[in-house]
Amino acid sequence: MNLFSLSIKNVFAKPLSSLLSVLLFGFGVAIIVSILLTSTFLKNEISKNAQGIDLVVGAKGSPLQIILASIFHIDFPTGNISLEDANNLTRNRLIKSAIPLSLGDSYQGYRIVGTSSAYADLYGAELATGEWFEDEMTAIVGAAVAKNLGIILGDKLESAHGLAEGAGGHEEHPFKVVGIAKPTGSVLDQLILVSIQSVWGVHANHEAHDYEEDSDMHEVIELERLGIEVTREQLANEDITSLLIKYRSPMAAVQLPRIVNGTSNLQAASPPYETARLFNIIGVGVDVVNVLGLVIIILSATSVFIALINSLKERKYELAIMRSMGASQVKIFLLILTEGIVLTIIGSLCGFGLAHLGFGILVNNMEQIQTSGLFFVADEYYVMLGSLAVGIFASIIPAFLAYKSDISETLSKA
Amino acid sequence: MLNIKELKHSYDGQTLISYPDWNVDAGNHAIILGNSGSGKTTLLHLIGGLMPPKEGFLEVAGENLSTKSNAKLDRFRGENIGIVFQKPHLVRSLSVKENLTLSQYLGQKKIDAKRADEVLFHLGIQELANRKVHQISQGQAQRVSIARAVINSPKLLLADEPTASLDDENCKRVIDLLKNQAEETGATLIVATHDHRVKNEFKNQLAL
Repeated sequence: MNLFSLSIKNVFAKPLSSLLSVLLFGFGVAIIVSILLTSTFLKNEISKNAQGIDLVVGAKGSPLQIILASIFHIDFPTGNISLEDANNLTRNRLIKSAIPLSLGDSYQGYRIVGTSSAYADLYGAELATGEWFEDEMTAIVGAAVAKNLGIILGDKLESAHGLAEGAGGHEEHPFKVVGIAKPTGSVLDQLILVSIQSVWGVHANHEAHDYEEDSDMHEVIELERLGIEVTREQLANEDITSLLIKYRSPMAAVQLPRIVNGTSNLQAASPPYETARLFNIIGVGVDVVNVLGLVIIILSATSVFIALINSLKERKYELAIMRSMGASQVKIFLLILTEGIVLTIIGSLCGFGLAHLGFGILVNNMEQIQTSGLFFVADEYYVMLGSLAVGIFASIIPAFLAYKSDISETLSKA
Repeated sequence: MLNIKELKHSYDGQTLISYPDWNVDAGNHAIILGNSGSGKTTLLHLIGGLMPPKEGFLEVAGENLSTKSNAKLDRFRGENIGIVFQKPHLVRSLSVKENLTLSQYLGQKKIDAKRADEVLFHLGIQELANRKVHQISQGQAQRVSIARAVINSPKLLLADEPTASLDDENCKRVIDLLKNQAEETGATLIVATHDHRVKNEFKNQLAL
């Protein structure tokens, strides 16, 4: 028998009122921790996918949409830009490297990205089996895609036009799977990579320009900065969706967007700026939910307070008799304080458990995300300390009342 | 064991009650008789160290209580005093036995479960040891409260109106029980009561 076990027993002796306090506290903490987990996780995920990309150039339109479509592959592209414009831009000295992307097709809901091998390097992708695509109409499949669709080397993928499942297809131009990537934990795991030329091949309009056989339009030239080789004909006629650009110097951050936006049909989008903007937009909602969590915690603090005050009324003789048995005022104070803290700690543990369980279930259902309910963030310590503080705050007045009560007076009225 | 001289006490703003000088030797069980409002419960609380006296000299178990700080009084109670109150007021969240070990803990004695069993056995309620407090009868609860008061082997066993609501038979039984337990643990028993049935049980009497 000691102070702690006595306070635990007192808490469990009133299961219903304790349950109410614990439930309220648990839900409040769960809401706040869930928000903390998802927003931190989202930020990590975004910065992981946006690493090494200083600027995205796409067709005129919403810069946020360009970022969402070209980096996170969750929105539709704003349109296409001509390969010639893109190539001209990459000649700029401010640009260190540029990765071309050609988007717009998908296979069973997974996006097919026409690009260069540099795109895979950006996420440090390695192959689990097979080899990198060299020829047209060959594809590298991301780890998650391969796993979820059960794709093996040599499979033929009939791409569909558009990004939704079941859209009209390009059945006559299947891709052959030549490689499967190892998991990278990035968006790459969700993609099917093919060469840019393959995408053009699928979409080739068959009434192609009839150039003379000896015309230099069939001459193959290397676009060094883009890391691809194309014919003059392709350079003149084909489009791509966007460019992922890496700066040569920090100066470029100031000058390049201006240059790009000055070009008639190009639009520059800065990933950090756009994601910050995105978080600002989401932030309002996050704040509202956080406030809701806080309100519930305050309610629960009140419920702890009321539960303790009520129990003091019921137990005032008990407490006075405990004093008569030799308990000091401080001991009684600590007893009541501990009861309040025990309630809030149980509540907050339930809350943490609930939040992590919920988060675990959520991310389990989202296949493009590699994490689990055991994802912890440092800020959770603050939530823990905060809930301890709330526990102390809610029980300090009842504890003080118990501390001050006059034993002789209480007992003589018994 | 107990020595009172010119002791006076009042609750805030009320008239001062003066107590007659009184001596109780160790082992000489005594009774404080008086009608309600006569201040006998107050005297019992003073003797039990539940509050410091306002004026006068009060020596209990060889210690002068008039000069003790609150913290020292807490310690003093735990070491020397066992009190049986009119109503048992056991701690409801605990079992019967836990109520006894709580008394050991609060009296800063070693937690001794065997001693608890022993005391319960002496009071004939050992089979209640693991019952919750709400599962026992009033009479049983009073026995538990006696057990709780004697478990730390106090020098002084105080009882406040222990027989107030009992019939003659049970009245006698409780007084015997208290006396037995006092003898058993080497305590001096002081009973405060208005119940004249109890009067003849004690030679040393203080009438208020």
